[in-house]
Amino acid sequence: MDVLIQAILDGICVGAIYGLGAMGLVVIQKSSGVFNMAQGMLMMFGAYIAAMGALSIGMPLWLSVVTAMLLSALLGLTINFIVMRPLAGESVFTQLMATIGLLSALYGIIMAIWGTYPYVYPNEIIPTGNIEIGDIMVSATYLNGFLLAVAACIGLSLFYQYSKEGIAMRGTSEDEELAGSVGIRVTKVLRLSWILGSACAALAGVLFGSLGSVNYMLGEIGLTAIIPVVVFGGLESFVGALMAGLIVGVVTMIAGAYLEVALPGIMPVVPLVIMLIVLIFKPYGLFGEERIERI
Amino acid sequence: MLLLQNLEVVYSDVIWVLRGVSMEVPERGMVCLLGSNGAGKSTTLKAVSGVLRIELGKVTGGHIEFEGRRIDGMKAQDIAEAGIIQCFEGRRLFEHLTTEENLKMGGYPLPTKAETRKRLDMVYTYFPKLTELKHRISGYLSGGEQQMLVIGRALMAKPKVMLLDEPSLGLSPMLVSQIFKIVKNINQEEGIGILLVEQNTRAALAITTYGYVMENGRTVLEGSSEKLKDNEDVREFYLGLTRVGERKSFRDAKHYKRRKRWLA
Repeated sequence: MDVLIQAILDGICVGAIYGLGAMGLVVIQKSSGVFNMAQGMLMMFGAYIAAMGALSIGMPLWLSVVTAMLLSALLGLTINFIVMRPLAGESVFTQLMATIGLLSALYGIIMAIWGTYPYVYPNEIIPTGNIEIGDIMVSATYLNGFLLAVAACIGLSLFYQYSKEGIAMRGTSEDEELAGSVGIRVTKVLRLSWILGSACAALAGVLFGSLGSVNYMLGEIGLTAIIPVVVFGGLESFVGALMAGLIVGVVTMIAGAYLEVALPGIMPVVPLVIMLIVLIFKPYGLFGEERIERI
Repeated sequence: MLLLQNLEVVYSDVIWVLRGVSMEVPERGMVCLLGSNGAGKSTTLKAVSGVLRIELGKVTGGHIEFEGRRIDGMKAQDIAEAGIIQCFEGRRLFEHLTTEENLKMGGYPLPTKAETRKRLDMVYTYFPKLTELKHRISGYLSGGEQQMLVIGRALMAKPKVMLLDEPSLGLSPMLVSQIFKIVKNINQEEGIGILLVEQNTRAALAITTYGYVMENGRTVLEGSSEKLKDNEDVREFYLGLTRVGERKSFRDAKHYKRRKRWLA
């Protein structure tokens, strides 16, 4: 029984980190209509920058994380300027293909800079300490991740639902031409969306990195976990991303606890299987917006 | 106030759509732009509101002036802030946003929330139907309600000129006359100039004071709406009336092409 509860608690915390990574993708999707396949690479970039800051330069960890978020935001801005802006007005599919190319390019660049050596963060971002209830332990890292993810979810959801800029971003992702003719500064909206999405990715990357170590495997999480989470949570929903992340986290941990012995290597497959099952019943994802078409 | 002179527009560097369009919308004026499909009416409006770039169009000749300033190179956002708002053809909306969110987007350039609130109230007085539909997703509204929302959204931004592209498209005649009446009110009470592109020639000439007729990318006829209504060519081409005011029958025009068909 304890095993189950431990697995569920671990799953909730890890799942929240999945959710945070997914939210960065949702930000970019919600503001520019582009499904950024390279999100995992942005996460990895943030994780490595923070590691470099904390270990090589010796900054306190929280400062390294902030630096990582700023530099990732800068990277996102550069990507927007070099890759996405020239493709403005092209079909969404073309823009998607560009992000796939970006995926490979970034993976190569990151590997070239940092190699395959694993980095381990020195300590926690928010020193909350471990919580122990009997035999069940919730590590500080997990707790950090959970709190940050929930805070981000609430903040982002409120911003997009109620603030003028948030509504403008949702409008721009739907119809750029109409948004421009209404007076919305479309270039500003797109820049802001990439800055926000990259900063979220960096934070999620750091949290993932603090689960074990920062190494080349981090990039794979983007493809095998974050993208299925976004797809079945609903492409435009922050709550959906968080919920989906939590579900994936819990099921993965339970599968790991009980099935790993019988089916080794099952854990990375879990998100994809869940995505498949959910999409059969809810094609727009759990919280996705239904596409409106006039017949 | 709004002046177009010998405007030429080219799409994708090869398609020459506008070949010399000249027109004027005076302050508080109500002008209509008529013509059959493909004449270049929508392109003229898009050239004025600055959205040609996304459709790979370019102004290659002539100029557009608004309140004495040249606007033909400006970005769409700046033209909207200067006071020219277009209602696109086909009731273009942010379909996944609610009615009120669409209106708020119309009021994006407004500086304060209080002003947005005031403008919203004004739009709701002109279009009381929209008050009940405040929180409905705009993609689910009926055609007439969507058209009202589009015009309301244009009103939000304190326009000096509104460009209406075929507002009567796909609407019932009763709804068309209702909406046109509201547009006339807006013109008279708010002092907003209106450039109305329409296929429904009768309704357009009824509420406007001046009109232009376009064909193949050129303005071919202009005059006060009274004169245009009585103009022979307009009557024949757009109202379907012959010289004596009778409906022309296709039977008379092409009798030599009809053949009796019960011969086996």
